[in-house]
Amino acid sequence: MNNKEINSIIIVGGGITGVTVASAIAKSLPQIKITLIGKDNDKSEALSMLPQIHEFHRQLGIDEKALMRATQATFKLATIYQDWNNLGHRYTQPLGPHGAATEFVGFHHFATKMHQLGDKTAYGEYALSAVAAENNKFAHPLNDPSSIFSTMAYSLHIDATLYKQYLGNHLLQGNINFYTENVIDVCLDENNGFIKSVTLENGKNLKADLFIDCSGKDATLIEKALGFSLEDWSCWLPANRVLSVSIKSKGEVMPYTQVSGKTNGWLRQVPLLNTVEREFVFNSEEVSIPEATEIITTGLSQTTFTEPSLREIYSGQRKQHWHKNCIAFGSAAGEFESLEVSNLQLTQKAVQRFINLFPDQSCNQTLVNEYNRLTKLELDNIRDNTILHYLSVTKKDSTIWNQWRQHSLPESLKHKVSLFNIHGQIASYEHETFYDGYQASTFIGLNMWPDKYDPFLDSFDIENLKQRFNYLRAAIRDTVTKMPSHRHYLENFVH
Amino acid sequence: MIKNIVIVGGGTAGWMTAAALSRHLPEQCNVRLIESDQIATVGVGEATIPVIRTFNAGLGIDEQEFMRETNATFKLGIRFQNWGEIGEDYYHAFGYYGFPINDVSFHHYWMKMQKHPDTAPIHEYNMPYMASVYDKFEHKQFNNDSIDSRYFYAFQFDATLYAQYLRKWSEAKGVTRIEGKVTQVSQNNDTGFIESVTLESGECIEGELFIDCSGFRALLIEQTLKVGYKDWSHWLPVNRAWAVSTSYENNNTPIPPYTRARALTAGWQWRIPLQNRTGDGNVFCEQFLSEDKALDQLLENIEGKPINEPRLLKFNTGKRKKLWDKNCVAIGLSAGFLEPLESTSIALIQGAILLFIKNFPNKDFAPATENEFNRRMDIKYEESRNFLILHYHMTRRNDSEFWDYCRTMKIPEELQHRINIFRHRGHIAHKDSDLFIEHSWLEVLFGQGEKPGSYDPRVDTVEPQEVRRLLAEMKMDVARAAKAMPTHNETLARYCAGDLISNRNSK
Ligand SMILES: Cc1cc2nc3c(=O)[nH]c(=O)nc-3n(C[C@H](O)[C@H](O)[C@H](O)COP(=O)(O)OP(=O)(O)OC[C@H]3O[C@@H](n4cnc5c(N)ncnc54)[C@H](O)[C@@H]3O)c2cc1C
Repeated sequence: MNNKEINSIIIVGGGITGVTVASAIAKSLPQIKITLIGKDNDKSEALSMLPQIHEFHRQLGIDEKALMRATQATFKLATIYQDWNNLGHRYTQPLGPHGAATEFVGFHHFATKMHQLGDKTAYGEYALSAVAAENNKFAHPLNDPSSIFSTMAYSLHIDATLYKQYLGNHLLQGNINFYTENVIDVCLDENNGFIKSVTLENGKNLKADLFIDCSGKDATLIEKALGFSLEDWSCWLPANRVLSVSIKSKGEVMPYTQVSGKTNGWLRQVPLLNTVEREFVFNSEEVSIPEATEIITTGLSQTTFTEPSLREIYSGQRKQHWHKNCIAFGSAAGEFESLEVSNLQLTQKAVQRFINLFPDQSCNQTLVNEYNRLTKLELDNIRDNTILHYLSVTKKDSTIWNQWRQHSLPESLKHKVSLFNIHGQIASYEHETFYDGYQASTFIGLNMWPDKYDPFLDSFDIENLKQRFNYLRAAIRDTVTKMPSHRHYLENFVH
Repeated sequence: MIKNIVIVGGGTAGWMTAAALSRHLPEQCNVRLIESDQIATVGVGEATIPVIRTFNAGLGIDEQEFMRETNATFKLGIRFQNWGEIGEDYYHAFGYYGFPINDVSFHHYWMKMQKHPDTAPIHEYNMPYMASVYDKFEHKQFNNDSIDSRYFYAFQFDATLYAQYLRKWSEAKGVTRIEGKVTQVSQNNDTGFIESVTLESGECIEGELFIDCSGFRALLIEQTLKVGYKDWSHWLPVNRAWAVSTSYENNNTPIPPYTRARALTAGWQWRIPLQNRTGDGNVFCEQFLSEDKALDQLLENIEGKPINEPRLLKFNTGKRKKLWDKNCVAIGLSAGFLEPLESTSIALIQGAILLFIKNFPNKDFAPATENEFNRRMDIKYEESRNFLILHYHMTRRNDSEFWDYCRTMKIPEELQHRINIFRHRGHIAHKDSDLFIEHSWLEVLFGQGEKPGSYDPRVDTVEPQEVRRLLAEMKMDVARAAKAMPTHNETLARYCAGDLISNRNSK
């Protein structure tokens, strides 16, 4: 026990990433003195999260009801894709599973066989979360495996600004020091390359044992001071701008995120309690701001939406997320268009991983390596999942997309695609975010049906299976009919 | 779909594969298994790890019947003697140390408190460990919330009887067994695919898919397809084993619910208790100890009387460069060999079968399927290998050239990384694909005398008094539960008495 524990941390970046990281560390290691530096430069944003958020909240001791009440949050059961592959294409990607377990053979093989027999049932009809989403219904899942509600899975849509305030009020109040000045200088230790201190605009010099870079694209510490550049993914994920508006809304609340394909980009709608947040994700060489504004405001009457706001994004990740006594989270570490995984989700997972490997003052290189290894694996897998969504898109036609087509895919994704294509098997890699069934449902939703289904399916009595699954579909429909509407449930829940 | 499947070899691997395929393949498929009475099976693979239960359950095997017919006993873990240093003794038990507190693993709290007079040695907080110490076993379903049933179990059985049991089972499901020795293998001139095998009798057996379960001979995958071998003997140098069976001293001899692995001067000796006898063997490295001396060593160290002639087995640690090539998949000893120190061989067979079923090929044998199988099997073999190397490398023994070699050898980077992580703060760099749970790694690392430099700093956020209270409570719960358990002998007699117990009753 020769090394000293970390007593003080400086976090550079006062946006939602910084606050999330500070909250998680303050909760797990309250003895550490945390200083948060920097203004909040975040543009307003609606977050569409994955079920992994529940574990994060559990660890932070956050009560779902209280949080939802304070943040305009709504429930999320699925993502519904509209006009994705081409005009008129539509599918639901639920957060919960499809079908019931058939021993050994994944449910999607059954769907593949039915599809080959000419059956037109949408795959989503076998998932309670999907059907509930499509009907604007919601109810919490149950733990009891004998209940159909055990197949529900959900997450949340949250307003980022309110979420940040909530975390700040509940986990940081009185526990940490805030500075709103910018960092203008970073001082390194000549002997070991560790960061020693940072200097603020007002001349103040602040020291700490550990420095966390949450400064967004600026990457004040990890790039500007330490020189770690980005691994660029824009050849695979070319979007670099997000234009967003907030639209007032009454009436039904969608319990899902909606994603619509457009000729040169995609449009996302995230429902909050009284607004819908609409974003258009595109590449600035392809689409001008007026064009993007046109796309995002089509069909809206002047009085119902806010001034569009523009965000720059990039696609890539830091070559090293953690180096010596400096670690980066959020956009300082990596980002790409958040089709299924928001960047904050990545931060939540990353900070949990970091706390599990929390260093002492020496920042042992083995811990650093392990963290970087796991983080890279996770991001590579999610990147592949995102690129996958573009493989089935047929209508894109522009310089950018023509270049895109010429670029060869990451080897890991190539393998994944060809394996699924053969007979619907999933190549799962270490540290996947999405379970096998979820990945299968993405392939099927994108109409990338496998050539064949698992040969072992033929040892089952197909009539019997059909009956079983028809019964399941009926039970799902029935259950959903009896479920309360999302708005109704929400209002009862938060009041 | 592929309809004609030929399995060459009727050892544990062959019959496990036949059983699983016949259980899941559609009826129109034809599975044939060729085995030769002239070539004996290895038949010494007798100790298993808990995943075997998933395999048996998948087949729908009745546990009591299976245990009776294979003279099986329950296994809670492995007892390692003389590994860290001569005179040391620890168990790798299939369970956990205590409960986590505030999401932080128990062992971090223990590390902080270990010097406190109220703190017991870490194994006293481990249920299956303590049950093993007292030769106790109770047949329970795993329950993560209750310390007295938070453990897994496996079996120790007669591998030859297990193969026979699965043979009966497979034949009832329509598998055809063909007796005969394969003397010739024919390949397609263009593709190199195997088209048929010919038996000594002249009978020619054609197939679309061939599974090589021919043991060390690797008749198809190596002798025919010549995929090559990755030799790992520089990390795991033992390459010989003398095996013998011994009788129990008398009918009341306690049957331990564990396998014993006692380190010797150039390897180690196993003792695997079955209902009616024990299996014993000395696994050694011939460069450091002659075959004759190793046999003497074995016979000196056994407890009962030998009941058969000692047998010598030769092997080389490593694996085929590809387990699946063209239309041939190698499963079992034909695929590779890892010594039985952690009883991983049957688990690897099972893993290969399940992965193969999941990636069952179409007639066109698309490369992605083969690649996926090979990629995943590489990971499985390498991870098991690393876990084995850990036992040899983390020693302080310096009493023989063999141990000097193991202690000082350079180990695979990934393993070194895991060890470094543990040494720093007691973390386990666990992977989803690991065959063993995190606490298995912990038990071996602690057992071999490793001590991390510090512990998880979150531990300091819990009041020491509260930690002491929780630790005391867990220790008491474990002790109480261990005491209340029936002995392993009692449980066996009640649940699944096979040979020994019936002999006992007749006397
Ligand atoms: C010393 C030692 C101890 C072990 N202990 C354990 C343990 O505790 N736990 C564990 O899980 N594993 C253990 N193993 C491994 C385990 O024994 C094997 O993994 C298991 O028995 C599988 O063997 P197999 O079926 O691949 O090969 P074998 O048992 O060798 O079977 C080969 C089969 O192929 C047939 N065959 C070969 N050539 C031909 C031919 N030309 N024509 C027709 N048929 C042919 C033979 O007749 C035989 O049926 C141990 C191995 C050794 C060497």
